[in-house]
Amino acid sequence: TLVPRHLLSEHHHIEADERLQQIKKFMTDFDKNKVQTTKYTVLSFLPKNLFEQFHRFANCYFVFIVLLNFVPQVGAIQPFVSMAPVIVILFIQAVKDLFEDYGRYKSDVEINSAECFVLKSSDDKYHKMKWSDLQVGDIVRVVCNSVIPADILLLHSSDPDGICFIETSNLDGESNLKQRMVVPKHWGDVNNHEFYPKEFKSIIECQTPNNEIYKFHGNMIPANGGEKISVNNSNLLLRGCVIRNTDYVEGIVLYAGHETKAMLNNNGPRYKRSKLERRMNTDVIYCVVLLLVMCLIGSVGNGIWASNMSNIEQAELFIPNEENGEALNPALSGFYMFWTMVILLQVLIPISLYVSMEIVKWGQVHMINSDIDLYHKETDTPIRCRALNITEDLGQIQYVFSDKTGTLTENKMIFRRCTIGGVDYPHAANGESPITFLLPNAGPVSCGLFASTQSTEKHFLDGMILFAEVIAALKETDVTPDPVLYEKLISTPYSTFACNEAIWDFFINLAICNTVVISNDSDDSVTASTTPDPYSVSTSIIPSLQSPIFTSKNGMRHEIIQHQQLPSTCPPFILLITLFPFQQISTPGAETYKPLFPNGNHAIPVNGNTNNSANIGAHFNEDGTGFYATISSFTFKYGKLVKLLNATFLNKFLNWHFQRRNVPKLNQLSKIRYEAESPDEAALVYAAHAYGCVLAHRSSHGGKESVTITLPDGGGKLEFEVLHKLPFDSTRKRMSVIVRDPRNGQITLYCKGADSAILSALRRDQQDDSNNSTDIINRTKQYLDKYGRVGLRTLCISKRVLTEAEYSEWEQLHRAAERDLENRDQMMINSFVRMEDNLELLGATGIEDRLQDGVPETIEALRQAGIQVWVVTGDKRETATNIGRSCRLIHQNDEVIELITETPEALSELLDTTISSQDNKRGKLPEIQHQTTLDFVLGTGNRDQPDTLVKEIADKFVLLARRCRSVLCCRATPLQKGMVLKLIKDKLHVMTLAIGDGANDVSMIQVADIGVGLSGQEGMQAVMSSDYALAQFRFLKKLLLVHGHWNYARLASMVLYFFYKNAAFVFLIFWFQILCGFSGGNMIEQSYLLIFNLIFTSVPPLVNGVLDKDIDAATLLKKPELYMQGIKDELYLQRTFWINMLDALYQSLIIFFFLYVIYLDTEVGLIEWGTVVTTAAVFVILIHLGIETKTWTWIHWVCQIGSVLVFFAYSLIYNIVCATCLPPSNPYFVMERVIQTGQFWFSILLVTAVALFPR
Amino acid sequence: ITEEKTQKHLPDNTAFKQQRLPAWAPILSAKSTLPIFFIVSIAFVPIGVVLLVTSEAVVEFQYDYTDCIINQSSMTQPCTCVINITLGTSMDGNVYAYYGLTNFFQNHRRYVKSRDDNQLFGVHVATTSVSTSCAPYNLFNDNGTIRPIAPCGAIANSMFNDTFTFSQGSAQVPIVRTGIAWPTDYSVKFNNPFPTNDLDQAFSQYAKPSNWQKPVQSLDRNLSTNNGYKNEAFIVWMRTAAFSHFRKPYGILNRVAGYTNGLPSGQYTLLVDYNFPVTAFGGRKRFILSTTSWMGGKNSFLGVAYIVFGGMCFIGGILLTMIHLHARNTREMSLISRLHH
Repeated sequence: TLVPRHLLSEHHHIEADERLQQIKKFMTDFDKNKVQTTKYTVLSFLPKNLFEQFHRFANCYFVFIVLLNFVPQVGAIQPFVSMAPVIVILFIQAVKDLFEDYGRYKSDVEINSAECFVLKSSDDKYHKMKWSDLQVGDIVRVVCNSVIPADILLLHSSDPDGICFIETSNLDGESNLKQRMVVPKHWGDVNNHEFYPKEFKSIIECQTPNNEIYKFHGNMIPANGGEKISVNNSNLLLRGCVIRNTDYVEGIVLYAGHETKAMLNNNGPRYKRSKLERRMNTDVIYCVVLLLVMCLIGSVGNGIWASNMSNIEQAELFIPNEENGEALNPALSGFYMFWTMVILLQVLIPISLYVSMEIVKWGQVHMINSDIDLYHKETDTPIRCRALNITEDLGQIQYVFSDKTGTLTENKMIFRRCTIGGVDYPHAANGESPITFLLPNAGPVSCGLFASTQSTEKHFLDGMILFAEVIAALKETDVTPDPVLYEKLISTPYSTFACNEAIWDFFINLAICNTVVISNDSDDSVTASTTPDPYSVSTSIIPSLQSPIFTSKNGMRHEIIQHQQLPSTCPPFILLITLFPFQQISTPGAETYKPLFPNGNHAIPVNGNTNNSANIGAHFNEDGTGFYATISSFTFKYGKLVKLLNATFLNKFLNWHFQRRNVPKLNQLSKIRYEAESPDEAALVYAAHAYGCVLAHRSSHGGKESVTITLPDGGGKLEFEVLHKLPFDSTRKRMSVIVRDPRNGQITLYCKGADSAILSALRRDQQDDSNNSTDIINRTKQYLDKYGRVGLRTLCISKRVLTEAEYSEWEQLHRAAERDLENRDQMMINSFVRMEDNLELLGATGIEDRLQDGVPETIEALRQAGIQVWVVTGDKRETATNIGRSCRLIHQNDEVIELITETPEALSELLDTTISSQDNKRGKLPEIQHQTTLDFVLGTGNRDQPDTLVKEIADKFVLLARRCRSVLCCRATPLQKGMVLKLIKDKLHVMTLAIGDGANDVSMIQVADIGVGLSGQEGMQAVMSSDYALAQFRFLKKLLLVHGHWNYARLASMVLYFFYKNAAFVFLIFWFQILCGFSGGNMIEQSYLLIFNLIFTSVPPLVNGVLDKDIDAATLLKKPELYMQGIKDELYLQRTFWINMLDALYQSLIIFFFLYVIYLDTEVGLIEWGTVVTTAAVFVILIHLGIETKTWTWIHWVCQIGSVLVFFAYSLIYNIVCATCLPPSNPYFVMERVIQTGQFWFSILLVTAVALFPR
Repeated sequence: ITEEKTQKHLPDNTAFKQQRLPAWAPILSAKSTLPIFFIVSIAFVPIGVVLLVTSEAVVEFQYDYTDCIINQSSMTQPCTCVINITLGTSMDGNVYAYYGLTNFFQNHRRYVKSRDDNQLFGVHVATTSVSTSCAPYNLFNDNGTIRPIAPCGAIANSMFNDTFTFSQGSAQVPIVRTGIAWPTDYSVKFNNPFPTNDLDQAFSQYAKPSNWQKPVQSLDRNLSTNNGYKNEAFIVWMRTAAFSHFRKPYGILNRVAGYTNGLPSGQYTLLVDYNFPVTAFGGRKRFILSTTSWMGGKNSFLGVAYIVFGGMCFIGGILLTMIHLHARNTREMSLISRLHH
């Protein structure tokens, strides 16, 4: 509950009102708008950071070892020396944290000191204020193109209709504009157009802050005691969004600072644990066991040795007694020994591995991120790795679960056909894809066209710009009206009384039943920066329009006159046509005419060219509704390019133009652009637009919303008053608007939605024309099936005419539902469902959703790689199977098993029979691989029960599914998508990847081991919850087959190498115990012991972990079978771990005992010998890695040789500067002396060669 | 214009970022591995021969004198024994005298630790500041007054204190006890405390190690540069050996008149001042005379190992070549035979 802050300063007012006093008290608790995302302050940094760091197991292990060192009986290493690595690691971590925090601090300061206009109660004017000083209850004014500082309830907008537009891309990545409305009638009778903030005294009740971006509701209680006004998401401006297309808005701050939805949604990076890491952890446990065994052996050995010695009086010569002069008890000595050994052999636990893996994965992520092959040029989107620590899982995926729409397909919806009143309108001319326009050849050719005409560079450039813009414009308005339908539409004028015509209702439904935002291209604030206005460019070429050639035909002259009158809006197509005659076109054979109208009778061929024999065919429709030109091919005089230009290219141009021409007020409407949240909606609105039924304007006056559409052929405007909007949700699968028809005042519900959702809510009382309507329904159903079979997405269009009584009854209930703060969501849905009943079916639309580039190839490759691809979609079965076939998920000769039932029992039965028949046919194959495709359909009966997959059915399903090559799940709700995935993951214990682009895939993406989000048309929700964000499905191929394989291979070999490396080193020390009476003695100088891992042998494996390529990318792509290595875990098995340990054992034995024999009975000192051993170990371990390395680049060489040099440099320098430090192992001058002896070099050479020879 | 459209997210197309760096990918095949076998054997066998010859050129004489006096019980009670030695071959060049110990664990952890490098560096240590790592050999209770031990610790306390007098007939063979420690140890690590010119005063506040017969300033009264901590025999002892079977230099033959070419063959007498007890813990003591080569002392293992390893490579290489050829032949043969049929 809150009130405007300016009220609080009016003391007399508050004292009068007890309630306000309470609110004031309450409001003082609110935070300011200051945000602080930093973790630490200057003071708290050290303790807090240390505290956090010690939460890590690794650091605790280190500290434990250090503490052990402080126990004098146990200490093997100088305590302060042993602290060094811990301190170094803590320090590096702390610096990293500090650095990150400082970055956050800087951005905080920047954000906090941004300025906004806040109302000051003292003088009633807006003053500049820092964001951080903003408080809940403040009234703020935000101007166009500025960022909203907090969550604000919109009270006033400069727009007369009380709306404003925001861009939410900062919040959810969706770049389309969204409309927000002023709170309707918010303070009684004050005129909306003049907002006096001071007079705004209402009390607002709203939810406690939460992180749901799309959900908000509350109530406003007017100060004058009026009725509560419900406010919702459409009145709320969220922090981080940008005001567009509106001069300024004013509103009251509801949530500030950390309570804003944007901040609450700000959660950190995701952490998952990879499969390899899990496996590695078991091996770490083996290492712990090994360590304990070795320590135990040492300790027992020590006890035995000491008890042997304790009988001997002279042994104290070299076994010093305790400080009290007594000899040490052998048992106690053994106990001490155990801990000493723990310290000495600590390296066996590869703590450094964890740090190294983090670094390597960071590097791998960097490499993936910068892969140019995974960059999508058209949308300027590179791949983004959001999860940093599961890069190697990409190489072990067994199941891919893919969404269909927007993932396999482009999600660029194109209106393809429709059926109205049981009649199918095929829209035959509408068959080509916008891709056709983007033929690689088309660009240069058309540019050439322009260039050859104008022969100047400037014009050439203009031409190019023009062409690009035309293409851009065409993609969105890509509907050719079906001539029959268009004829019908025109011939039944939309008069005020003949309003029951299904065709009209159909198009009105398409035009108004949506949430599309209309935006004007001319609006500089949005589009000018990104897309230059094509029309302004075209004027430079306009003079050519005056060419006399085009006056030869009446129709043409008409055109040109029209365009001369409207030069600024001249559609570019005419330029192309104009230019063609100038070409010195050589005629390549026969002319091609292509009758484009199926009925053809309107079209008569006209040769628009007077001066040459160019093979430009033009069909000119005299009534001006169609103009088509075809060009099969041509060469132009520049001679270099002989290109084929697709005929439809021009078709589209012309269609596009003629649609425009048919539309009244061409110059105004041609600038209309629709921004829709879902591409289906946009496609439908554009379709309506193509038929001249244009969604022109939306407004809201004083709480009354209305939609204006214009009619074809100057039919005038219709303004519908929108009474209600029933937005789309995934349970209802439909949306509706309730409008008052301006013609007869009838209240009409227009509803569109998934066919199942509409068909189940159709009017049941078929009294008078029952035959007719059932007939329509049946025929529509037939067409729906047909559309589905050719892979179209279907939507049913329906309406319902309401009586005033029906409406007001419903409205009352609905208002109550709206005000309910608790079960509002459920109540609302119930209310919606109540309204969307008794529908009258108008028709259905078929929208095409084209496959993305490279989808079949990708699926094929994934298949070959041994990955099972499942497609899980909400679409109907026919659509899904069709897409399945076209993307080669289902092969021609695959056996398709369909599981469609109404009830779980039937499903269970069906599964039984299918399984047994499969068993009969093929015998009980436990193999996953076989050539069956199962088409699994969650039957319609299951729709309402998400937990249909009861246990036994699930088991059977899995049994069957694992034997299928691929599975297609249709009609899956978002939740079911996640459930299917979870089922497979849990039952089969496999690695799964889910890929999807929409909010409905989020559950699936979150459940999967790897979630991949496609940054496509449907916003960023999938991306936000994903681990990897791709631009296109086809990138999955390289991501998995190449990067996945590499990262898996690299990491597997790195992990094994670390185990090997540490073990080899530790074994050396262990063998020494045999020689020194199990006393925990150590020949290796302390600092070597500690930094051997840290410095001498750390960089080359890291480099390998990031850069090594066991197989090159081209081969991996060509032979997807190589991916199996990852699926079968071949590179990192339990066995390989032990083989590596044996390798370490062998090598350490060779190093140790060869050097022992060589140096036996010489004057060699302990540390001197230890230095030789260390050197040999460095050589062996590094060269071992060198042998493992598959590809050597200069970086490898530098690191390998560099590591050896660093080792020598370190030891030489360290051995010379320090004469007394680090007792007892002070190595003064040891290295210097050692390297002068021939014995050293020859021993190293021999040992290295022998140790590595088995490799 | 389309080309110029801002592609700010476009990754850099560099060889590194696209993982296209030129790389050398060694492929293991018969053709590349077989030569390695032969190269290794060709390189290793001659090295081994050279090393073996070098090692064989070293003349070494060892004598285990552990048992020459049996009832030895303490380091502090000297006694002597006389050993007659016959050198069969002359030892040319520099001749080193060593003492060798067996089963003496100079590498025991607590033993190794039991020293104070600071003290040996020449820093005076007080009763309170003597290193605890030397305990229990750090303080000496001298009738109620507690004094720090110099040099402290177990290593110093157990210093080898047998002395050898090596003579030919009646003439003593000149073996000098200097030049055996590392020059850097002598000049840097080991320093006498102040005043360095009067060691008696310098060490006056310290007690001698309990096992020592004489205090540290009396280690070599004849040569002031070889006395105190700077006594080379002491320095050598303080550099702890790697194994329990080791030798340490005792002295170098002074190549003066009669010994300019080394040690001629013949009869010699070794007089041992027998102090150091080893029998109690099963240790052995040896007296060793040896020449050296550039490879150090006599050690035939390295040379033999080289030859054996090189030889194994050679044999392995031949075997693999034969297998390889055989496999190819059979492949060809089977191909031919298939063609025939």
